[in-house]
Amino acid sequence: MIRAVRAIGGPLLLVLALAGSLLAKCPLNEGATVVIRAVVGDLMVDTSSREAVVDVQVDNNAVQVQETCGKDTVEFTSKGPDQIRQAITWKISTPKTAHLDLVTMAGNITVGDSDGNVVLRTAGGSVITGQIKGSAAIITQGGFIKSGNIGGDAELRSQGGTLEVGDIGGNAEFHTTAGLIRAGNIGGSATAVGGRTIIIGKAAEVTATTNAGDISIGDAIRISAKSGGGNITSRRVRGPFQGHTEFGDIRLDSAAAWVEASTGQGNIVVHMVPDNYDGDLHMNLQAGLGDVTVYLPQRLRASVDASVQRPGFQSQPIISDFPPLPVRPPQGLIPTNRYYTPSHSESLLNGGGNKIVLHTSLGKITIRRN
Amino acid sequence: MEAILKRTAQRVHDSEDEKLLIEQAQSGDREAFEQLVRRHDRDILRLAFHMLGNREEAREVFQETFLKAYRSLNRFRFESSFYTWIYRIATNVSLDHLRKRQTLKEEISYESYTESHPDRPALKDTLAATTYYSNPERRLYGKEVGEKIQDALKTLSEKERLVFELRHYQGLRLKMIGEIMGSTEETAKNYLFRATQKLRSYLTNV
Amino acid sequence: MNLNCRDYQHQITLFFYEELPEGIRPELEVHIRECSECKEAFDSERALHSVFAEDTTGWDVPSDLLVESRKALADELDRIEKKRSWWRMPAFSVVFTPMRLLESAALVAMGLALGVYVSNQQVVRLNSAVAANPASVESQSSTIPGNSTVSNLQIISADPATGQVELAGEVSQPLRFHGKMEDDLTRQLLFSALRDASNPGSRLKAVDLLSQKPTDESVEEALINALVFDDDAGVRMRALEGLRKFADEQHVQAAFVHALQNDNIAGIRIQAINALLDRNAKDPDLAQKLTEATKSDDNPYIRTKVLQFVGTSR
Repeated sequence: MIRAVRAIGGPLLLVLALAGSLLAKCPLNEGATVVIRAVVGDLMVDTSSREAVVDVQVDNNAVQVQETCGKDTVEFTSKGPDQIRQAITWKISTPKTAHLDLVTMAGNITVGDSDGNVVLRTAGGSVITGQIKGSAAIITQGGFIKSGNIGGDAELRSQGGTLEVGDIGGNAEFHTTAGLIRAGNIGGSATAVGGRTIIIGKAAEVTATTNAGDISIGDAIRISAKSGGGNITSRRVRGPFQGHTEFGDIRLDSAAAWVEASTGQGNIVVHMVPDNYDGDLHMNLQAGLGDVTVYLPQRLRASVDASVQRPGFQSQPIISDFPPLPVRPPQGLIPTNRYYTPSHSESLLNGGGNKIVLHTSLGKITIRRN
Repeated sequence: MEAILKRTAQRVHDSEDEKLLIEQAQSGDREAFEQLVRRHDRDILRLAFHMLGNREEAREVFQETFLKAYRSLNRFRFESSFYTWIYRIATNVSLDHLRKRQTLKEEISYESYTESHPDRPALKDTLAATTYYSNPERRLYGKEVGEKIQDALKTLSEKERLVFELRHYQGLRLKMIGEIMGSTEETAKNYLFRATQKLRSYLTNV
Repeated sequence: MNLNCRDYQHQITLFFYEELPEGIRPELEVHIRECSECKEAFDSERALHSVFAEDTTGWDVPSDLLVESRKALADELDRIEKKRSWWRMPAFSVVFTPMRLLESAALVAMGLALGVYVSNQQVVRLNSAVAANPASVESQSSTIPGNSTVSNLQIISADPATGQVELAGEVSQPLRFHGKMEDDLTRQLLFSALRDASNPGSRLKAVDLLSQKPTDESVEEALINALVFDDDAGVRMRALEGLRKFADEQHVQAAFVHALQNDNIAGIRIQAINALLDRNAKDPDLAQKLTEATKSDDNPYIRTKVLQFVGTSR
């Protein structure tokens, strides 16, 4: 076993090697970065130590650890066969204040809490961290990422695994090809590109795309969402909303500004609850196959244009709390033909204003007073 | 062997409801067609896999066989059994694919092989030397044997392989095999004989 | 009968396949006793059949190959049918819109014993207990449900004298189905959703649901199908997660190895190798398969894990 010990801030540093000799090493400054480059092995970082030392232990003699001193970094790299038949663990102990830059080609990474910034990368394993006060960039090819709260910006990437994180203070970027994305409250903007469900508690601007799965955003200032097959829902969007899903419903429980939403197949339900009645409050809701339902406030000024391409058999395709504009029937048509129910209707609310276009190819349109 | 005989008996019993399925499929019932396919698809795939020797081509032959069956089902007039009909399609498609490969298969004379290798131990002696292992090892051994047999099949010509496959793995009677090939029972017998001779020569190395 | 040794040896082959013609057997037996060359041929043939009897896999078809082939065939048939049905549409037809499975919960419409489209490829016949008798299928005179769509209408006959009209066509209605996971029909619909080539969200939800119940063979087959075949990485991943705990079963193992060898998403390959290693201990046969499957994998995590497994399997 090779143990390398660094003392931080002190003049004399000790290294205990197998041979038992003492070697003087370079100091590690406050706020420096601990860099680990492991060709193979799980990395376990313990940040609970009160001592201002960095300690690295590898439980396999075949792996030799080489230390390199720098002004702001201390680097531990491994020398040894890149293909090893035994499982290997690196036990690393650092102070909470150190920044971390850890890479393992073949292993998991586990980190406790950190007050610094962390960059954690693995070619295949999973990454678990505690609470990170700084910013975090966590990248894995295949495993999952589970992180506590991150104080600064966050970038989480995985090809296959789930990305789960608590609250993020700064901006967030999530990429996963085949996994879930789940995040709490995000102070800044969030970009999420996922393979399955995306769940974000709160964020400023949200851009979310997934091939297959629901997108669920609690509270956001602005949303742009796209799903290959799943529902898009939001409890509250305070600004514009743009969303499209190939298959699935779109439900906005409270939309304060303009809304453009379309679904290849599914229902659209939008409750309009404006903050500012003088702002842009236009709507364009299109369903390929499904019902469109809007709830509009009484005092909204709007020109509503609702159309159903293929009305159902013997059913009323457009139901509205607001009186439609009178439509003059085409020349010669009996005005009270009960087999011909209008499938296109226009209304003016409060004299007209914001353009509201509602359309479904096959379904119903319902316009309700809020 | 028992399993194959049992399956043949089962076939006769099923022919009544198969007739109904065929009629339904002929009138456009997709589900009926799919049920018909399910009855034979494993066998046809095995045939294709053994004949062509690789997954890619086996899948192609499988696909082509059933699509052909789908398209020409209306012309099926119950003159033969359905499985003869489908096997005929499958064997023709397999042979077409093999010919496309344009591999020249040398007709390895079985006689000259054993003559030119007199020092090879006789097959029965090789077999006597093997002992019966416990089950997992037996299984592993069985797999090895299976693989060896598959290798041996590659030394057969197309027709020899076809006849062997239909007789040995599918359990069809030689008379039926003759029909499927558009030939006679006698021809099928000859191919079977040649096939088993070659296999004996090859498997002396087991 | 004047047969020479060559003919007798032909007979020997037929004998072992129980294809010997009537009446030949006694003569054959006598000849074998008397002719040493033919006796040797007989013993040799018997030994060959003993070897055949040891073959435990010749009758197998790789299950993932069977699954792939079935799926490819089904897709091609769908394509052909889709092309055909356009031809069947009369010029004035009201609508040709494929109906898909909508995942909401409500009761099946009473008395609707029709085929209901659950995808534009398949028709599921609802045989619910509350269905009206089959006779009502023929005469739908006053039972066209309100929110349905009528298409492909054709006038079969019309008699101006009596005012009697006979129409034929199709009624499509949004399907709202409420059922239990254990029910056959529910399962059938979920499998159908899983096969719907165009809606990855639906396939994902179907895989999700199917993964949650203790699996039986048909569910396992459906999940394997999804893992091996689905275009969408999320669906494949979810199927893999659902099959994880069965990674020691033969077919599931084969599917995982297939994924390991063929899936272009490293994440899925990684989860596959993790599952295989977790559920299978020290098997030299599996070690060999894994080595073979990953020999050109560029991911160091996967290569290391395989190496570690091979190391402990020795």
